[in-house]
Amino acid sequence: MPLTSNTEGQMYALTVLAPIAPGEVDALEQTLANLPHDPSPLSGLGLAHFARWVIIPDFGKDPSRPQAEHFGPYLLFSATFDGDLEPFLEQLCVTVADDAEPIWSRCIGVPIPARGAPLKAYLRRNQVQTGLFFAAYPQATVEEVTVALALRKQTIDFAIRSQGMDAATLRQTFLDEF
Amino acid sequence: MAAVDIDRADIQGDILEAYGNRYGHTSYLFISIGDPASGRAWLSEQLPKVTTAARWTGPRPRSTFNLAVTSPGLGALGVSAATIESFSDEFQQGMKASAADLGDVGKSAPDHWETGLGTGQAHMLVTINALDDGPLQEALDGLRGGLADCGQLDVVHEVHARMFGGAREHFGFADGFSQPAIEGVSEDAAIGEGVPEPGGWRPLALGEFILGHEDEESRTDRHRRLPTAPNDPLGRNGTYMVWRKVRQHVALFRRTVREASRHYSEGDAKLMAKVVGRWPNGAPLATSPDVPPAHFDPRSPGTNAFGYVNEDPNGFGCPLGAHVRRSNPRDSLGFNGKLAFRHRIIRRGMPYGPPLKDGTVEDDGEDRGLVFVCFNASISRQFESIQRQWLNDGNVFHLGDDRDYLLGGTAGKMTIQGRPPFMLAPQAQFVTMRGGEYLFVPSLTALAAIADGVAG
Amino acid sequence: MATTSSEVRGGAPSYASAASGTSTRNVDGQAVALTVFSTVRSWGLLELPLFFLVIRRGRHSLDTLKRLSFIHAARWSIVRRLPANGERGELRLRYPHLYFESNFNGGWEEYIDAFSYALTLGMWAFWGSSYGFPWALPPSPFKDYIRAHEYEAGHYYSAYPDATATTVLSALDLAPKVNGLRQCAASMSDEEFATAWRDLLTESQTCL
Repeated sequence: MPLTSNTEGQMYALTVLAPIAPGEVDALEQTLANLPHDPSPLSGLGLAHFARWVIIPDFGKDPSRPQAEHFGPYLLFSATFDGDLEPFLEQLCVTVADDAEPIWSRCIGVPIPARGAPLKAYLRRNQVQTGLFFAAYPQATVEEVTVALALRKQTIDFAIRSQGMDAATLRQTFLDEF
Repeated sequence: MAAVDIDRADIQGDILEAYGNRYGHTSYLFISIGDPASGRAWLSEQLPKVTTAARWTGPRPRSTFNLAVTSPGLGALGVSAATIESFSDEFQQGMKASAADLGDVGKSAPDHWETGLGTGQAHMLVTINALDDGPLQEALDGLRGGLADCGQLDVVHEVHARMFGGAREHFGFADGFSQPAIEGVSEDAAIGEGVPEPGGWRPLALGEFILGHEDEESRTDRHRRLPTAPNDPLGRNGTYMVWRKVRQHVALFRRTVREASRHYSEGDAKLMAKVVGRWPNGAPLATSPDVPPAHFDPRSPGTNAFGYVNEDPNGFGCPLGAHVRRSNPRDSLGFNGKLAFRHRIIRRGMPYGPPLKDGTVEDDGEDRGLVFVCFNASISRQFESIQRQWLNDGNVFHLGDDRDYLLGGTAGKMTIQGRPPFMLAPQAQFVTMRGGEYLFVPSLTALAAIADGVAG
Repeated sequence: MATTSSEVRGGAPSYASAASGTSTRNVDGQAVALTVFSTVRSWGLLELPLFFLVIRRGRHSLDTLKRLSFIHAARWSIVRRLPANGERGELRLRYPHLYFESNFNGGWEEYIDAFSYALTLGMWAFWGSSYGFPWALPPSPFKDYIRAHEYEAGHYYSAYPDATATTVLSALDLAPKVNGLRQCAASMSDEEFATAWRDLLTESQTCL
């Protein structure tokens, strides 16, 4: 009876919590703030639907329980992606390694250089197992979603333009465009 | 439900009463106050004139008079910074700061707004409703005379609005009759205009519209806490007001719909009604999907007593993205109305400018449009949320990024549901924002406190 | 034949995302990130995993979440230990911590309100065992609680930032229908195609 499950349909929910080296929080914050959007370096992760890095300044520190123990700064990484963990880690630790290395390298115990197989092992070791994972379209891959979105746009555009076309023109235009 | 104790004599009248329906002339004058003492002296003189929500015992007054104040206006009247900070953030920052959020971009951006609006100069708003030209001029002369006497006060912006032809706005549609059903005020309108609970529709809590009273959240609170409001005595019996001058491009709208209707089997009049969600005479498409009823009086009771879930779930009558369905989804968002009921507004407002002759599709260069006014206890939760989530976006209705076609913009098309559906292409904007302000409508007690310099 | 108006006054206004009420660091186009940690009482260590298991087994238990169709993906995880790294040894947490993340669309306020009103009991099942959790209603204390436990993203990425969850679902629903028509179109007569196209539009209008 498994108490955790990282998957739903063909999607995988990866959560990693890694301790940040003392004194590195501000630099890490800057690095993350300076990452470009559109495109983000994470766009190299073709398998990822969503991903985030979040700095937890003092993990365990909780305003609702101030006397609880706390463990210093942690870096949270979370991704929702297609398929198994290994191919995704390949993308995360190899394909986008150049952009991600300055971020991972500020964590305690991270391999130097922070990339490739040693980084994969580090991330696996620091993985938090998912208790409950909800996905609105768990069977659809990033590719399927993006293709479907483009097809929908194309269909809407055609639907508007084709209003009033005679049957022959309608079919011909459809065959030409789709 | 708890009996609601409303001191109508303390609440300004235009919040709970739609003066615009009988009073065909409405003038809005924004006043700038040069020094606090003069401002307060002038305000003191206005107090006896302010029309309250108390029911009239004799004939109705020939004109009504109401006051609202902006955040800079509170400062200009000498209200302390600490007290001003007890007002909501969006009110303090002003409508201009919310421009991107509201979709006031491009030609509608604050940079292009008319003089006096969004600059911090507008301190108080005087709203005069008059039965006719005579009483209007009298009221305006009295106002201007009083301002001149006081000195240090100037009118920085004014709009003279006027009803024309059967309470229609400039696109040709009867407007203003659908209003939230409020406990202690308009309970008989609960069906369709209140909250759709399993046991039947009920009116909304007064506190959604008037501060100092329980709102919908209070009902779920063991301690029945009242909603956040400005510090007493300013908060109680007051409310926030949104004022927007919206220019309407009537010829463009008519032309666009006419051209689009070339491939619409049911004609351009019906297509226009589909965009709005009502027929020009105000009859809702949800209840009259095929043709407008011949004799429809939007004022008769029961004309707004409808929902969408049973009457028109697929949008074949009133399209899912039609203007009226977006601005008041009623029961169509599911969950017994719980995704909609905290986002209701009381709408007032009046058309301004001369009507464009029926059938004309070429612009005549005249400035015409709508002065949009609404009242709500929270500008961000009510007005802004409607604007952001219901009008400028379509996701909550499962319409992707389709925007309200009537207000427009080039993002997103409009689908007219049917067998088969018809689609309107993305189009130019039919309206342009010309300027606006966020205001507060103090109670009579609060106005007196401000005038006496004891507001805090 | 085009029904596009040729007049575009003042240029196209920039398209604004419906995301609001949260830091821009949490936003990528239409996608919004919510990241929350809370401390869990000991009994939560029993209740939560069992609750998760029951939900995973029950085919319709997340139906309400699906009906609130503005969530792309969400997860709840329990952190019980922090593994050894470098010189830092393994840390067994005295109290477990609950991690919640969501990828959703629309306004933060509206999103939390929806949880408050539409998933009141569900909220208790997830956060009832967390210290400081007020009941999900009234909404304001619940929003204060989430705000106090929320962390701003350092960097947030969505693979398809322009699309909301409902649009994705619509597109996925529509695709096989259009593709089906693509396969038959060449071998249909003009009249057959016109009927098939009309039928597709009518059937899929809520996806368009």
